[in-house]
Amino acid sequence: METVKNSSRREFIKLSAVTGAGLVLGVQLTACSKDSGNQAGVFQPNIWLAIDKQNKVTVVLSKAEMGQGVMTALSTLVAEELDVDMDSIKVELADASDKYGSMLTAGSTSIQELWLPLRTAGAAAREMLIKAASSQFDVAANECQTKHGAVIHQASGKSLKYSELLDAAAQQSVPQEPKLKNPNQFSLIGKQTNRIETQDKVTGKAKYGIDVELPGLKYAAIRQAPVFGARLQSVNSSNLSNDKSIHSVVELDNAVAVVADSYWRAQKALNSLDIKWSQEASDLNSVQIRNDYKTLASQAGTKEFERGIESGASVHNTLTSDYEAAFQAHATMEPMNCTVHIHDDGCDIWAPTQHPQGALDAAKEVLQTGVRKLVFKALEKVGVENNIKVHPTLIGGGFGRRLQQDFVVQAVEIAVQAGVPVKLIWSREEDIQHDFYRPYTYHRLEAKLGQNTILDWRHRIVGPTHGRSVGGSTHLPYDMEHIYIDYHKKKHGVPIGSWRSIGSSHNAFVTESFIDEISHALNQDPFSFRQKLMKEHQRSLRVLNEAAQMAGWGKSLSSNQGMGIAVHPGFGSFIAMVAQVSIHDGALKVEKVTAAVDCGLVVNPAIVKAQIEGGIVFGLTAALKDGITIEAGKVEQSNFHDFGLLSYEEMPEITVKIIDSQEDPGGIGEVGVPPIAPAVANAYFAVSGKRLKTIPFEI
Amino acid sequence: MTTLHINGKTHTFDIDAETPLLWVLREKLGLSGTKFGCGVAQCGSCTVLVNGQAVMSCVTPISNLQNKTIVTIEGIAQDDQLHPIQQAWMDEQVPECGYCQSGQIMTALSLLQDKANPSDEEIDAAMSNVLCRCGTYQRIRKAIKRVVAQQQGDA
Repeated sequence: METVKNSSRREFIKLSAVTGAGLVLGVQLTACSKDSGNQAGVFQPNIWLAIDKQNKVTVVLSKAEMGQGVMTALSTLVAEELDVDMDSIKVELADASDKYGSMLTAGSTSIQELWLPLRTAGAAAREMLIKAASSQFDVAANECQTKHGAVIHQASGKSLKYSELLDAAAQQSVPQEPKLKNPNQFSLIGKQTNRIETQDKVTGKAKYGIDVELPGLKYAAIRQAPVFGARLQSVNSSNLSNDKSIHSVVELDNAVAVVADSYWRAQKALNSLDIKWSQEASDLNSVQIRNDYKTLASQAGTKEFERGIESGASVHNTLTSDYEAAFQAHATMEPMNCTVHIHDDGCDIWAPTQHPQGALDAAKEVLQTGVRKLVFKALEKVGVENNIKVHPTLIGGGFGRRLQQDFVVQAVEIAVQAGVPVKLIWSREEDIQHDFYRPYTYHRLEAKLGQNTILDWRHRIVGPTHGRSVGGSTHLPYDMEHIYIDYHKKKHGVPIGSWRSIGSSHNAFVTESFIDEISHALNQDPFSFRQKLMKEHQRSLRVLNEAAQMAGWGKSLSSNQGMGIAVHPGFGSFIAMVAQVSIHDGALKVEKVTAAVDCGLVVNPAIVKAQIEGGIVFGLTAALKDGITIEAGKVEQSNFHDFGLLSYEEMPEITVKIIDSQEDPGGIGEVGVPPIAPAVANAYFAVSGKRLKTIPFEI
Repeated sequence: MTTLHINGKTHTFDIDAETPLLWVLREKLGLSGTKFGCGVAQCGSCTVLVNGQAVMSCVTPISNLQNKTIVTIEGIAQDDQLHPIQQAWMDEQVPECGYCQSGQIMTALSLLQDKANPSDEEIDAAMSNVLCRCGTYQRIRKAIKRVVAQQQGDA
């Protein structure tokens, strides 16, 4: 194995060629923040690809595939620049390691982060293969082309498959700045529509975290303290002492786990235990949280954002309105789970995680303390390095929930105490009641209006954490004289996390509803009023116009029907939606949703459309179904009977148009969520005259 | 002893007969395509066919299944030939995370075996038993319509 490092300041390319095994090429574009300015996400990951003797290309996936399509989309970037067909691509999920840079899958950033590094990896490999072939053909490199995994010299009719060039390519110097294709040369990017893993997902072969099996594996069920902050006091498990199917009862700080021969036995035994918690109830409840926040909304908060100055023009009208967004659970279809095997050589952890490095750090924290620290240090000494390994798996829905490490830490602790390989699976009840929730937030909006203008826009946000409360509130796509946003942070001890589209999930509802209120207060059409305020927001304007046109904005509807519009820039993309609703016997039905999205250059249009459809369903669920509420310190909901998901029969007809764009790729996983709630609320107002000021809606 | 006929094979189990079929499939037979979602017959991820009918295996003890014919997602393709419903799911690229899709496909299979040309209301009623958090319903609808159209064409 040889390692070649170039001395380039900003990047180095590491090449390791294992004779006969294949060409392994890793490209690491280092993220020297002082060199690359203050751009977000400049810590660019190292990427691996390998071509084997069967002419298959293995792409190492450093991001989590949780339904959003990165497995296919990221592989497409490599395949495009390497000039190989998608059916020659195999994907390997990367074990947690810093060598890939950030493995965090969050914020709709995978394509944005890896768009250049992965293409560069493919292009560098391609140039080396061309050099190797041209020397064998005895022609100039620039006379050669690549196609379908082969280098071709057209004039002589010679061609060699990549698999015939492995050793020779490995001898070539590594191009420091391989030439990337121009978008007009793309044959896969923007055209590819099928996904790599679909067949496995329709045949039941796809393996998620919950499907990991090992010899001698035991199954663990867990019950966590129902009251937030409570601890385990005692557990009486004497009723299980003669049950041979039960391996052990494990006491954790705030939970009890039962380890058994089968998950069902473990869960049944857990249900039979007499468990005492340090608190069986607390004063914490949703009404109190709401009252606290409402009180704060009347007091000035910390300044978050300000733009422009008020001109002093005469005020035509003023408007004040309060909005609220409930706690939301992620409710991924695959419940939290993690499999841990502690053995003589270290520890293997299989986790459906959006944050493998975080999982590794969390596992180390548990394993490298006390006596175990000595064991794992001793392993390192005898040459077993990196003896704790996190193997990310396919994920049955993430939405931000699996950025947390609680279930990983529990599984490791249980495996340590039980002394056997363990798969921990949460029940749905645990999942709903012990989430890291989208925060409950309270909003006060105030506007001073001119005849056709917004002179002053004020938005006060009250919530428990900063970014997850205020995110998405500042980048309003409207020309306004003055914007002022302030913020109160107040925590109540409810666990808070990132939930698909994060702050935009509520702030788009709030701001797009209030803009609608303003347009009606000024007797203006909600669409044309928005249009007029978008002179400096051309990409938002374009999607707005497109959505309105596609939906037939302004067409005559029956008296129980209405249309609403909303727009939201975010995650590097721009989206607008028109919702068409109807009211039957007081009940709201969402009939149609028309969306236009500009997410820059598109890698896979089918995945983009699927993500927008999925985002709409996710946002509709939070608008039409249930919030999470708290009483006596506990979450009141527990399963899908009281935390409902949008069902098949409630699905509106969705049309998505992707705007043709040559801009850099934006995000897509979260983009579909923010505008749907306000589009529907605005449509409801159009038909009923009633303004919906909470999500979920109170109708 | 409980005897089960699963995907054309006969298995005998000496375990608690109250064990739900779901965990026998997953833990005893390695048929992990059938998924655990809620444990209380609310989400449908665990749907299998029992004597041709869609059944939620998370609440179905094996004691109820003696000598009945059970088919799981692993049992519907013929060798390498996907079942037409699976093929339609491929053609429409239905799955996102894919976790609920075994339940979706088995529910669609039960529906289409009962009714070659179901009405929209019948499709709604059957398919609303299976929840999808990713929101793939529109493509599920297209896939079902595609199968129905093929069946009508073949008839």
